[in-house]
Amino acid sequence: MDILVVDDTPANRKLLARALAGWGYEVREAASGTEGIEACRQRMPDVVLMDIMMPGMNGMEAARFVRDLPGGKELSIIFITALKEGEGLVEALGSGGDDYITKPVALDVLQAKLKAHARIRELSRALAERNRLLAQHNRELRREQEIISHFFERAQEQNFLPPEMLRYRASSRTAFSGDLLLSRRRPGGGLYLMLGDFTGHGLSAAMGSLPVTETFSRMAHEGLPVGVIARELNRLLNASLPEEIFCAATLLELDATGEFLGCWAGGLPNGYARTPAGEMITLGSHHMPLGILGDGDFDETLETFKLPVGTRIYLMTDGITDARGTDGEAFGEARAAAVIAEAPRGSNVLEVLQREAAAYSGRSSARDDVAIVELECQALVPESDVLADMGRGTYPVSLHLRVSANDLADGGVIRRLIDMLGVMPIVFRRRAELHTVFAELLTNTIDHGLLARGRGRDYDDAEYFVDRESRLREIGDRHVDITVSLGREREHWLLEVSVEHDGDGRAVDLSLSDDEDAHGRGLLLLEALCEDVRIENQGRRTRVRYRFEGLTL
Amino acid sequence: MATTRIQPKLDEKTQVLTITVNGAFDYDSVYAFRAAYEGHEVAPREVVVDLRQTEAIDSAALGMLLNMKRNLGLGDQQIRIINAPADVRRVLEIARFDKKFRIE
Repeated sequence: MDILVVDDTPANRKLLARALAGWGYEVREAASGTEGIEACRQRMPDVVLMDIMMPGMNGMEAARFVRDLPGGKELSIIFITALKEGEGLVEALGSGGDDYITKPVALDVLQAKLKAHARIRELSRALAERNRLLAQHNRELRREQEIISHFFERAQEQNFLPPEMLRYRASSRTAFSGDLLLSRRRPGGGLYLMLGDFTGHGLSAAMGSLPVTETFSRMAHEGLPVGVIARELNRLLNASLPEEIFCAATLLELDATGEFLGCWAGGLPNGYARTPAGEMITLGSHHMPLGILGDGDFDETLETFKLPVGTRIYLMTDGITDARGTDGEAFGEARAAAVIAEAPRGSNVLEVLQREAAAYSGRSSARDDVAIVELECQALVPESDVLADMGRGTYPVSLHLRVSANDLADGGVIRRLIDMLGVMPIVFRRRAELHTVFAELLTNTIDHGLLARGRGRDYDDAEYFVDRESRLREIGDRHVDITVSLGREREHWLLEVSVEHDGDGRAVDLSLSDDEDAHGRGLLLLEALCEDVRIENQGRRTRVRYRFEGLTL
Repeated sequence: MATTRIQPKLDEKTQVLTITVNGAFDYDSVYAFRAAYEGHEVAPREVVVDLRQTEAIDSAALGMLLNMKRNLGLGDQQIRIINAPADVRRVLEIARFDKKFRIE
């Protein structure tokens, strides 16, 4: 510790300096107030022992100067005074002194005081360091928040719906909202909408919205059923977020005509639909929030509605329904529904709803994050660039699968084939039709080729399916070769499929087809979906060409 | 693609059986479909097949729909196929199922 002794009397100064040096302190001396200030300016000591009564500038004046120097706030100033206790001491301490000691200086008292001040200095130094660190952390946190906010805004602002169809109001208690509103157009026309509310507030609540946005967007782009999207989000939240974080959400899927609505609702307050005629329909929230149930228990069942075009759908988070009145009762779904039902035509229902809930609770601002959405059901045709996009990322590819009769008995061959080819966007678009094509090809090949069953057999008896499986196992080492080749022909994409077996029978010939018989029906489907169906190699090989109509290069 | 899930729900008051097919409705799932309409204590008077989440359909499934009609002794108006996505609906139309069932 570095101590400065300021005293105009050399004897006193030397006495103190010797004692201080003896205790191991670093000591400097100054013979006047002015000298003392100069010494402090050169290097700020930890403690100043300041005589009060000095000619020229006295100790109190010098102390005020020192305090105003850079770094002068932290040091300890101890006055040395001949004053009796009480006389002028208040003024002395008020002028910037931390303590005083009376003359003649009792050295043991001085030593004790210095130790105490050293401790205080150490504490205040630690505190200052901690404050500095805290300020630094705060700055870093604020900077991170700004960056993260930017992410969230980017994620949220990708609203692809026409503004006249979707309106919303949202307010958040903190910089980050636990609420999430996502909307995307369906590739085949129509739209998806999701309103979610993560448990908690702030960053921890908002954290989950990034992976949810990403997954929702990807699956919406693929045009998957909204129940399948809900299932995947549930799985994702279970896998990637801590247990206590989950997401109450309502997911909607509106078809291209704007009339058919599918709704998966878990954990949010009920949604409401108000038809142009004023009829109210409840979109009941029947499921558990996303991120709670395991995949096996998850229920992707939708509620489906046929609604007149122009129907307006309202979804809200519990920030609205949980608004507490003065009596402690919640605003509730019934009041929300009444506000929606009674709002005059053409009024801003969202604004009215938010105002009513706030007025009910007697607060100007909500206690929770609040989000309300209004969706007007209208026909929404696919955007033309969505169609142009479909060929992108698809390359010509050939694939050869050799599956045994045992594999066929196990099932799932078509599913895997579609999964493999489905990485090509153009195939994924048409996976439903291609599934049918592969299914008909395989069924014909298995039943009439591998198993050599007669025609006219229908799926009448329950034994049929068990029978097919057990008969396939009997000839388990026989094979079916499936060759698939995806390529371009002039401006079109084309998929050529050949299915060949090494069994005893012959695939049914098209010329024998009859749509009243199950197999005839299968071949009828093949003929309708494909442009060229051929049976070759004595009925062992069936070949088809599937053209991706409507999807040009 | 997830595996197919077929869920029957029988309303005992109205005797309406609703079967939802999630995933591919094809040869691999027709046996499960049969189980969904058979063996109910109350015989269904009407069946609603909800295909909203059906990803694909093939002739084996079509055959099974015809079998259900025959086995339950239901008429043309007593089986409704609802919410079929466009791709699935196209197959139903190619097979002229719009003449044999109520497709809504």
